[in-house]
Amino acid sequence: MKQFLWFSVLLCSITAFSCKELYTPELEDIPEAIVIEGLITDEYKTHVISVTKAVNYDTIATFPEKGAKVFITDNLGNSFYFKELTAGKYYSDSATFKPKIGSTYFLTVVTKNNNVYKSAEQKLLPKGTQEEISSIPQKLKYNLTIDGKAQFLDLKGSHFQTVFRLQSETEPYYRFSNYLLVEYIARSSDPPISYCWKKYNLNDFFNINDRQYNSSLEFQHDLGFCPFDLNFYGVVRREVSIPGCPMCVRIINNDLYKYIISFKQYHINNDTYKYYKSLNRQLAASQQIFDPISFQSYGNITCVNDSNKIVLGFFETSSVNINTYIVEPSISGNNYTLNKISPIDFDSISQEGYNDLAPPKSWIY
Amino acid sequence: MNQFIVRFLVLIVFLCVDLVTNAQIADSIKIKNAFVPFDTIVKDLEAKYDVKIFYNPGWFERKEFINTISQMPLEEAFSIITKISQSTVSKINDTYYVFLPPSQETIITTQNDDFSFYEIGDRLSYGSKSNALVKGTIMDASSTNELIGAKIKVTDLNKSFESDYRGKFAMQIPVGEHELKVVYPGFEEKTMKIKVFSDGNLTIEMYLKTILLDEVSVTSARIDQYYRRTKMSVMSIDAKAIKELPKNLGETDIIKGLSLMPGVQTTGEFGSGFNVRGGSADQNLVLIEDVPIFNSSHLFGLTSILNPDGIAEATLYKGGIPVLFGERASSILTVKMGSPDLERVKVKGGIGLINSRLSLEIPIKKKITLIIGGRTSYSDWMLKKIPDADLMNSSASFNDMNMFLSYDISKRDKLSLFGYSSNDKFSISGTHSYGYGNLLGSANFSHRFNSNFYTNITLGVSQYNASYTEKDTLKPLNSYKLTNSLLYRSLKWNFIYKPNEKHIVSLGLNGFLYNVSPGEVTPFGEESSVLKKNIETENGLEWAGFIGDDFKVNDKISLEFGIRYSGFNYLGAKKVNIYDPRFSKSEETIIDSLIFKKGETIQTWGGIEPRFSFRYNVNLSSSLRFSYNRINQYVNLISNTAVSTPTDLWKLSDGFLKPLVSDQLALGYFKNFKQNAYETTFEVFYKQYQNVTEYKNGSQILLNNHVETDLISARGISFGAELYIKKNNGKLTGWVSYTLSKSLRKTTSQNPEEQINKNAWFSDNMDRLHNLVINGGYSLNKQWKLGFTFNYNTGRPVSYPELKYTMKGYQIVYYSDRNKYKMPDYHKLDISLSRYESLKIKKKWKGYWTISIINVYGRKNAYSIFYQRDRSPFNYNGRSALYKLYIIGRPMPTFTYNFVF
Repeated sequence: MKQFLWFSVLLCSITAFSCKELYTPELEDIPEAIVIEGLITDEYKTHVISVTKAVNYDTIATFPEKGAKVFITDNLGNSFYFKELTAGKYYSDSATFKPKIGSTYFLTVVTKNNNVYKSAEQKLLPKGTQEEISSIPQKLKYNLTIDGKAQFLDLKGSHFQTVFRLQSETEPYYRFSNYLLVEYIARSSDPPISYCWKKYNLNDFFNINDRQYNSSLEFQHDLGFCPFDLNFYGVVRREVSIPGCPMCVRIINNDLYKYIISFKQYHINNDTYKYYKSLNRQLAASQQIFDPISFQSYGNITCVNDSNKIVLGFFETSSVNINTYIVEPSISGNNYTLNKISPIDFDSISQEGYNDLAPPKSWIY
Repeated sequence: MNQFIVRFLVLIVFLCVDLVTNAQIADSIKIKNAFVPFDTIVKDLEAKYDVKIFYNPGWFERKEFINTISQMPLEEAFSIITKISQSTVSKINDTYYVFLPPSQETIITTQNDDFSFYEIGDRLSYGSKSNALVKGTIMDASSTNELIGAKIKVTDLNKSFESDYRGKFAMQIPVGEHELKVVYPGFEEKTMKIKVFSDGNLTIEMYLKTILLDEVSVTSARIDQYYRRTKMSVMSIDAKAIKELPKNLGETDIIKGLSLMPGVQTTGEFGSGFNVRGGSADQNLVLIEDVPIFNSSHLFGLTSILNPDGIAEATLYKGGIPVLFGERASSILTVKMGSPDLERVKVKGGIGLINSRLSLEIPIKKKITLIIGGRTSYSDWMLKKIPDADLMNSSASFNDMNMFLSYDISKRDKLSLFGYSSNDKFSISGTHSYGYGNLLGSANFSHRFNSNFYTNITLGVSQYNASYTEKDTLKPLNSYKLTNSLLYRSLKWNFIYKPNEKHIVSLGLNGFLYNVSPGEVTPFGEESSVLKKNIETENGLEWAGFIGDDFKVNDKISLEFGIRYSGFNYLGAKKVNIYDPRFSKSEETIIDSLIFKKGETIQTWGGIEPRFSFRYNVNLSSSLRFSYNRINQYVNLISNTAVSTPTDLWKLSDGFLKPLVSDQLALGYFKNFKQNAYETTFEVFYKQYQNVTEYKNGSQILLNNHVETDLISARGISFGAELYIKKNNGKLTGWVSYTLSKSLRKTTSQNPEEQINKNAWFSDNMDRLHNLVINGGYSLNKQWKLGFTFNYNTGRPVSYPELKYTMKGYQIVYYSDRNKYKMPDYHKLDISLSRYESLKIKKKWKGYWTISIINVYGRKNAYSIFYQRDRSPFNYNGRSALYKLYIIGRPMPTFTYNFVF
């Protein structure tokens, strides 16, 4: 459901009397809240727990919760401590902490002021059935208003989807995440070559399978639409100002190199599903007058020594399947082939960047 | 009776005469230059004899008279004038005289100290017939409601007549003078003298016994009444008053007009429905010809669904609800169609900025009245002119049609048929479309067994359909269409029995059948992978029986009391979940389910609904009133949005959702001043709700097979005081309305998941402490009228984001406790200027135009304050912000032309 707002805009456009404007309310008695975001999976890697303070709505800065004691306890009573390597971020020791499917875990965070936060026990479920991912080339209409003129642009790309074949109506819940990495080479006179990348998320919400809509035993699940269009990514010939030299401009000719796309399929438990679903209601509600009544979304963590304290965030345990592909366009450019490659740690790749002369270590060939 | 009142009365008479007779003036008389216009004669006569002569200049504009007429004795002068002009003259009293056209059949009201005196028919025809047919209507002067079964006794003939179910009567009596006595239970007996010249009409107005006759002047009785004085917490608007309501976007809008009365609110320029005394919009029963409409707004509330043409009367009961009504907890709005005293075909219409309307009123052989009307909007073409891709591909339109047929089968029997259809469509960017429509029909049969016993049977059907289509071109796999609908059928069989003048007993049986289709989702487009899904339909039978008495104890005290028993059967076929009682209901706590067959009763609810009203007349112009009513409501609009949407679901009471029970106490003091030139009312009320539907955090309403897991039962209270002061006459008329009220809710569950704000009292969505309306009209002259409406409201309750944080790259906000804050206060001034048809114009075509300026000082009233994420493509963690949406943020001119011919 969306966009009753547009109806108002519509009327306002007719009459030129209605509009929206930024609004800053006078807030009062704002509570304090801690935010704990934890995810452990069956992957063999370093897991990260983030502990921060929620900030006032109109504040830009973030406030990490430093110096906390963070550990995870399994169903055998073993505790695994996390180290704070950057402010508010606590990392596991991958050598000692290897989550096991079927085990249960709970998270404990003890802050400097001796508040103790504990999560509910979470079971690490087995991996879900890995289904094939397919792409469907599509040319979609994309409407933009540029310089006051209405324009409809054709946007070429592919819809990625997977097909589930459920065994019963009580099949598992999944959460899907993805990364799209666009790698390209920029050529100019100085330096002659730069290796550039941009990283995207194809979803504007937590992508979970919703059994409310799909009660049959086989259904397609949309993973996201990926535009394959140079204009869309701004990867076109352009003039670029040189930092530190206001008068210096260089011409860059960009060559699209490749698209790399990775999908993660997390097998989540009911608590996790309900949590992300509640957050989705808020994310989907943006920009709407017919939005649901706003609400407070709580996770599975509480403050043991003070039940009135507000605790936000969630401790998630889930197993994961990863599919990573290089997307190869056909000669005609109308079709795309997915060539599966080994999983890549996209978390370590920054959102955007470039490396002059030589490709970075993370460069995908 | 002072001179002003007489002048006013005479003016009204002229207006009526001009409108209904379409007088034909005799050929002009060619006279030489020695002759003078009629105006000159009149001035001379008025100066010479110290009299005042009223006439319609149009009747004499092409006639000239010899100036010696003014030198003649007055009666002789009149005699010559009437012969030349073929007009008649009537003496009001020693000072006032009125000229009438020759075909005049309407009444002239004269009043002396003792009794009313009326002349009926054409003086020139006097003596041509021995008998004459006198027809007319007997009505309540305060409400203009027709009085059924009123008795007229022609005392000198010892003959009696009686008004029928429409309040109409017909008497075949000898020409000449007669004395009439008119009696009706609860009303002052009226004695009047009539002089019958020929066939003619007579309208008799009766006054409640609680008001002394001499206090209710003819003037005040003729002024349009907005406020019914027979009950408390009731507002009644008749066809005349409807025209005088403040204009909404240049057009009369009954619901918007009612929202300017105390205790009634809307969400602003937009917003479906209305709210009465802290109740939600679904707690109002809007009955059009006795059949309910389930969405009373076009274009999401921009204008109401009621076409003002063809409506005879609208009455809103805010409290003290008669035993005749039930079904909804807060208010009853009844709308009656019709065109009283329709003599010829009439065409009515209007042309406005947003829409136009047209209606036909057709009398057929004096027994049948047919009204057909319709409206349509034309905003689409304007959208195409807007240089915005989204808006160019958008559309917003509505249309409606209504039909009403009234058939007088016999003097005892009457049949009326009503039909209504409406459609609204709204699409933005061609990607998201809303559609909804109402389809209504009713058949009403009235029968009078005798003068004291009547019955009325009504069959009604109402269907509401809504749909929402999402066809985002960027997500064709997820495109779908969602539909829901409600079918309502009713049978009402009511009786009215008047054993004597002190009692009016009403009793009846009602049955209502509901079929609700909560939702069906279907794939939209060939590429869609959405699977078809249905939510089980809901069926229910509501039934009620009632008996009540309107008992006049004595001149000071009267009572209305009654009992209504309503019951409800929630029916199969249905699969009903059984939940683990130890936990909050959720999908995970379902432990079993029961299957019920079609028509099988799943759950039964019921309860007594006492009604009681008391009136004590403190003195001749003031009264003290008290009322109590309980109403059970078995169907609720399920909506977890702050503003009602067309796709909100109607949900029947079942084993989990108990019926909403509302108890209301109201106490009022009513006082009129200066012979009813000023009306004042002061009321206080207290309402208590049981089983108000509230919503869990993040509840899902649509396509939820176990919606009971997302609903919470809450308690509610509303209380407040309402003050209403109205000025009825003079150049400046209007009213001031002020409401001070609170409306609160509270959950009571021990389970944290079923608590809101930790079970503390919190503001309801429509909790607004102050509501002030100042509405007025100033008549510049006969043709020009200036109007203004000022409205002030405390801002609506709202929840703001207080904190923010990031989860997996998405910015999430933490909202305050529910409805912790208030939106900025709302206030607005609208003004209008209307120009009415000149009285001199003899054309059938009558029109007036209205220019309005809405929001004169351009306040940007917040309609909504909402949180908006940065939704740049592929950038989902950008900054977000709160925005204020205002609908009309600058002075906005509108123009409407209305006509009738």
